[in-house]
Amino acid sequence: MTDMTRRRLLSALALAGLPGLVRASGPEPGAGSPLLFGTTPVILDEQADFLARWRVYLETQLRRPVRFVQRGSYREILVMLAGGKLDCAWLCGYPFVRMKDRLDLVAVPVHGGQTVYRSYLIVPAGDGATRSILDLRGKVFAFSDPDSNSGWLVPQVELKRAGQDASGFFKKSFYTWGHRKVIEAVAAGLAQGGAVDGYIWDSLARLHPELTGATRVAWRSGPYGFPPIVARRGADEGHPLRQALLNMARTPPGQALLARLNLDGFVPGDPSLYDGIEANWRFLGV
Amino acid sequence: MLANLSYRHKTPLAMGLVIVVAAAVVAAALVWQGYRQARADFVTHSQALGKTLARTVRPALLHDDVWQAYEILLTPLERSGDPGRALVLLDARGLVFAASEPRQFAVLDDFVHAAEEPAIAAALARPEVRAQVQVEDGAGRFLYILTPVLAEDGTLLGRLVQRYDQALFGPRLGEVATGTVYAALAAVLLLLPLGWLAGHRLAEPLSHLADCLARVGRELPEPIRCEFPHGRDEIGQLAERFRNMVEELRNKQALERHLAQSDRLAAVGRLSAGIAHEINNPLGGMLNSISNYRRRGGTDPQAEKTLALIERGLVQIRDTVSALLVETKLESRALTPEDLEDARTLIHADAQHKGLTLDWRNGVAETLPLPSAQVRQILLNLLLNAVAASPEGDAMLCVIERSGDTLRLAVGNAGPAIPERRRQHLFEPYFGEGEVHGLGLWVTYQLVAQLQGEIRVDSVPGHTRFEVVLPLHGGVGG
Repeated sequence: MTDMTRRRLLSALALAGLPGLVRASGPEPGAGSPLLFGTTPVILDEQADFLARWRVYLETQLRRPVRFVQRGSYREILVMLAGGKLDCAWLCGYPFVRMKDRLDLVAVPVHGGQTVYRSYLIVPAGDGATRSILDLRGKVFAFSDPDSNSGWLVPQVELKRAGQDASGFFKKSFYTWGHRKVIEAVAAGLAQGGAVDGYIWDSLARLHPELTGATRVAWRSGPYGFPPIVARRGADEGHPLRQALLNMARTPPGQALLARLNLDGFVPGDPSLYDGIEANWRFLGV
Repeated sequence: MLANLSYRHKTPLAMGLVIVVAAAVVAAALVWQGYRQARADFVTHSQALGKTLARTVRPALLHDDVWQAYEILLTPLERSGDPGRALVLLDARGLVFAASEPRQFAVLDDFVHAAEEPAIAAALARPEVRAQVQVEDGAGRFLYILTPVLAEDGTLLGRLVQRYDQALFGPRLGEVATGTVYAALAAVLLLLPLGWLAGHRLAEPLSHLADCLARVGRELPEPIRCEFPHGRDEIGQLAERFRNMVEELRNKQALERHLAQSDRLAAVGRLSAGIAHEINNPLGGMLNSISNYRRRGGTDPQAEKTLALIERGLVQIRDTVSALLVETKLESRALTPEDLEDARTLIHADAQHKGLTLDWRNGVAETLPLPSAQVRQILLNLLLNAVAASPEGDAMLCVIERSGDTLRLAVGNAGPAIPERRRQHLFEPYFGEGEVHGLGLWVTYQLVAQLQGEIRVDSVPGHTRFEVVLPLHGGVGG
């Protein structure tokens, strides 16, 4: 929590009109300076070839360099974004609602014709009995990331709704710091259950059916706003980036990239899309 | 069966057998050694891996990060679900923290219970042991390597267990064996021809000797020519004996031939001497009668003509018979150097007539106890023969020397070789076509025999040489 406090303080300072102070170590403004774009495991961001192609597309559209920044956890990206070391990022809806007052919504991906996704509760394929997270009492459970809606907030809320104390419910729980790794942990039998981004699971089911085939989706949550692309509030980069993203569905290279992402395209979106996540956050009271 | 096989085949076969057996034994030893080495290497490597992993997983254990520990445990495994290898990280209580085979070793399971192995239980029951431990289970199926995970201050945080199926070494053994067998095969393929060759070379002189021995008895010793490598080994000794044996056979045969010839010549000599005496007695009477008859006179011319005819015929008979009858001359004056020089003078005219040059080497400067008449005749006969046999304008050689207790006379010419058929009967009385008589050598032989000497002849095309050796203390000259 001390991390969080420091980050909030830092962000507050930045937003309170002392950007120079914070940006001293950040990139220089101007046409030549790169757009720093943070990515998180809300997409399959381990595909370097895809990111290289996407960068070329964005640089062509924006007429400025783009640099993708990847980190081991959501939190590091959030800290960098709050600290002004990133211009924009592809985040989960959960951190977005927590930092809503400091972030602008740039675009929302469209998946399967909708701007929503679900959290999946997955179990090893051999487990045919589990129907809900409540069946996993005393088992080993894998969360993806404490800052993930689908990989942490949704199962926590489910347990609390059922009146369970999450801290003692499982025999053991651990974070894998990525949705894909949750699937791997459950597939290998390291965990008997896991919470994962439904969009990631579906995408992997197309790319690596042998991996997802070792797991079974035991429960699907209700719809939540799809992980959005956000920019620091007040940053100049938001608008051109939004245009570039919206244009992707209209150009062949953009369509090819969207196909790799298993997405239909981007829409401007509305912050109210994430009200469900915010409600869960408030309900959990963390 | 084996006893009938030639050493020509037996030795190379034995060589080949030894090579194959040696290669097999060496290959087996190498495979065993290679397997043990591979296993030792594997264990050493695994121990090093265990130490590295134990250090690497320490933060994960400290931070209770199961996933990170799991990912670290998976790194050294080439493929997931490798049944031969399992890496298990235990916490300080001996419960599974993470394992590369989570289905077998589930998180927070009691490892001792899951492994069902008392040897491991015993090793884990001693938390005070801080060193790496290697344990084999009772059934010999698994090899365990236990590495403690220690905090900076030495506190035991947990243990890393590496479990390897001993069946993993099977393919290693196969690899080592395959490589070694191929190398051994290559060596055998290289060595077999060499061994075969060596065996063949070893047995070859023996077979050759056997072949040569087999020819003795079937062939005369003369044509048996066998070459053997020189040396003092057994084959060399055998070959030496064989050469000696053939040489002795050869000498024996020559001696027999010589004796037969001498006997024949002696018999012919006795026969001709007897006949000559029998003829000479009535012949002398007949010639005396003719002489007496003439002395009385009063013979008519017709009778005188007839008597002359009879007398000429009788004289010719007497000459021939006296030539056959080599009589010991009564004259026995000792041989002087002048006697020898006389022979040179006598032959000079004949030699000059044919344009021959005579290389005269007379090494005798003193009087020798030999009958001069016989020696003069022997030398003269040999010189006359040489002049007759020499091609026109060629050279002749005559060597006379005293050598110890013998006098040696050697006369050589450059004429054609004496035909083999002629040589068989060289010293016998010879009445061939074209010559009046061939009694020269017969007489010479008889003279030499009387002086208890020896006469030898060497004759090859372009060089014929007669050599006479006379002992100085023979019975005759005294």
